[in-house]
Amino acid sequence: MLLAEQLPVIIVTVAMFCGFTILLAGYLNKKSAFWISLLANIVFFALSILTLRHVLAVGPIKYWQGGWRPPWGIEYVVDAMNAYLLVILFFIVILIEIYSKRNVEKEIEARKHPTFYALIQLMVAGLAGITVTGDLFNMFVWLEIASLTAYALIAVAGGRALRASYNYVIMGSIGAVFYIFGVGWIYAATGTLNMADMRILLPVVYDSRLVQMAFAFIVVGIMIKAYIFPLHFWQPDAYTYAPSSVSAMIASIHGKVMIYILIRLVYSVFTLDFIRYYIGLDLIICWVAAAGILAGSVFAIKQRNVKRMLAYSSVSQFGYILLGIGLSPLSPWGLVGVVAHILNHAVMKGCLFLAAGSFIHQEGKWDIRSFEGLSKRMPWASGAFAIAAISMIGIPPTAGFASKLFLILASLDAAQYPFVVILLLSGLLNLVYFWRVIDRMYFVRHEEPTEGGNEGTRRLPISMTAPMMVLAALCIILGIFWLTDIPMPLINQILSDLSTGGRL
Amino acid sequence: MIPLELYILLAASMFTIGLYGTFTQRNGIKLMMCIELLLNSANINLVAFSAYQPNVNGQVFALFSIALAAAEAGVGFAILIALYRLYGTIDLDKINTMRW
Repeated sequence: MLLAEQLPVIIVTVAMFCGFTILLAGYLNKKSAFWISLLANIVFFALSILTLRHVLAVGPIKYWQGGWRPPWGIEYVVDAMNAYLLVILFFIVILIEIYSKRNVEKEIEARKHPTFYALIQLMVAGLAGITVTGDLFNMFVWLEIASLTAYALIAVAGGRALRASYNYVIMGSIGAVFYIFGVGWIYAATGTLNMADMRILLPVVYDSRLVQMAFAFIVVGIMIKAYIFPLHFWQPDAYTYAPSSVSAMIASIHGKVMIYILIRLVYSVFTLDFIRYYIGLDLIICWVAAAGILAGSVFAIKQRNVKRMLAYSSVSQFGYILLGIGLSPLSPWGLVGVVAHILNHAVMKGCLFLAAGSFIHQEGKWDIRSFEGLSKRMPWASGAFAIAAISMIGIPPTAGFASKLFLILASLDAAQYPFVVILLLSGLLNLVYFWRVIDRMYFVRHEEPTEGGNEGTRRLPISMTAPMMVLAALCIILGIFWLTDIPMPLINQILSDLSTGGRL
Repeated sequence: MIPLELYILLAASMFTIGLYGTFTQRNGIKLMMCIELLLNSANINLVAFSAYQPNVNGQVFALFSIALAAAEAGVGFAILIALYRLYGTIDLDKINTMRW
C-alpha cells in the first residue's frame, strides 16, 4: 500500500506544520489553538495505529526523503519498536492535552495560550521525528527541536521555573554537544550517518579508540537528556516549577523518547555484540542503573513537594529501563522489561503528575503534609493517584508489577542476583514514599472547616478528571494484559526487529 | 595540507575550555558563551572529519548544527532576559539563593 509507506513522514511533517498553523490561527482566535492541536493529535494517533498495524502485518516501513537512496539521503525507518512508541506518544499527548485545557486556563495567562499549544505541537513533532528517523544526524536535529521546545514550555510558568529552565538549557546543550561529538566520531570511523549502514560497517572497527569514545560520549549525552542518575540534577527543579500539564507531558513522554535513542543505539546501531565485545560493559551499565534506582528513591523519600517527589521517582524509574538495557545481552527478558516499562511508566507517571497537578489546580496544595482529607474533597483525583502509586510500588496485578517481574526474571535468567535484591528493595522504598502520601490523603483524620461551604462546591472539571481516570484504569488493565501474554505478537516483533536490526 | 590532528586538537581544546567554563562560570551570559564554544567545537570536528572523507555530509550537517546553535542561543537568551526582568541580575548564584 502506497499510503502506508508514507505514514511516518506524513505524521512528522504535518505535526511540524500544525505547530506553525496553531501560532497563526491563535492570532485570529485564541480559542482555536487548543482545538486545532487536539484534533491534529487525534488524527496522528489514528495514523500511528495504522502504522503499527502495517508494520506488524507487512514489516518495517522505509521512506527515503526526496527519493534519495540511504547512504546520501535521509532515511525514515519504522519497525515495531518505533511504531509502538509512536502510538504511546500520541495516546498520552491526547490525554494530557484534554487535561491541560482547563489547567492551562488557570496557570497561564490568556495571551500566551496560542504559543503554548504551538510549542506543545512542535515538541510532539520533534519527539515523533526522533522515533521515526533512521539517520543519526537527523535524530540530533529532532532531538534539538524537542529539547528547545521543552526549555520554552518549562519557562512558560515564569518565576522560579525560569531558573529551572535555564539550568535545563545549559545541561541540555551540554548533552547535545556530547551526542553530536559522538556522532561525529562514528561518522569519522565509518563514513556514514545512516543507522543501517553503520550497523554493517561498525563491527570492523569495534577495536577503534574512536568508536569506543563515540559510544561513551553518546551514552553520556543521552544520560543527561534522559536524566539518568548521576546526571539528573537539572530535572527535579524543572519538573517542580513547570506548569502541571507540561511536567506530566515531559515526565511521561519526553524522557521515554530520549531513552528510546539509547535503546535504538544500543540494539540497532552498536548492537548487543558491541556490548558483549567489551566484557563487563553490560555490568557497568547495570550498576549505574542500580545506583540510580536506589538513589532516586532515597531522594524521593526526603521531599515534601509532591511534584519534586515524583520527579525523583522518575529518576529511579529510568534506572529500571537502563537496568533492562544492561541485562539484555545476558537475557532476552531484559528487552521485554524495557519495552514493558516504557509503556507502563508513561501511563503511571502521567497519571501521577496529572493527579498532583489537579491537587495544585484545585486547592493550591503541593506540600504532602497538607494533604489531609483530600480523599474526601477530591475522591476521583486521589483515587487515580492511589491506583498509580500502587502500580509504582508494584503490587499485582498492576502494570508496575509486570515490568518489575520481567526485570526480576531477567536478572534471575542472567544469574545477576544482586539486581533482584535491588529491585525488591526499590519496591520497598517506593512503598515508603508513596504510602506517606496515601496515608495523608486517606487515613489521617481531618477536621473539615465548618464554614467552608463554597470551597467544596468547586468540582474538578470533567475534562481534567477523565484523562486521569483513563490512565488509572490503564494501570490495572495493562498489568493484566502483560501478565496474560496478550501482547506477545507485538513483543516478539519488537524483539526480532531489534535483535536482527529491523533497519536492514 | 594541514594534518587532521591539528583540527581535532583545536576542537578538543575548545571543548575543554567550554566545558570548564560551564562548570565554573556563574554569569548567565558567560555560560551561554561557553555553550557556544562547545557547539562550535563539535562543528569543527564534523567539518574536519568530512574534509578527510569521500563525502561532504559532515559539512552540510555542520550548517544545520549552526542553525540549531542559533536557536539554542535564542531560547537561552530569551529566558535570561525574563530572569533579568524578574530578579534584576543574571548572576545565577544570586538567583539561586533568592527565595520567594
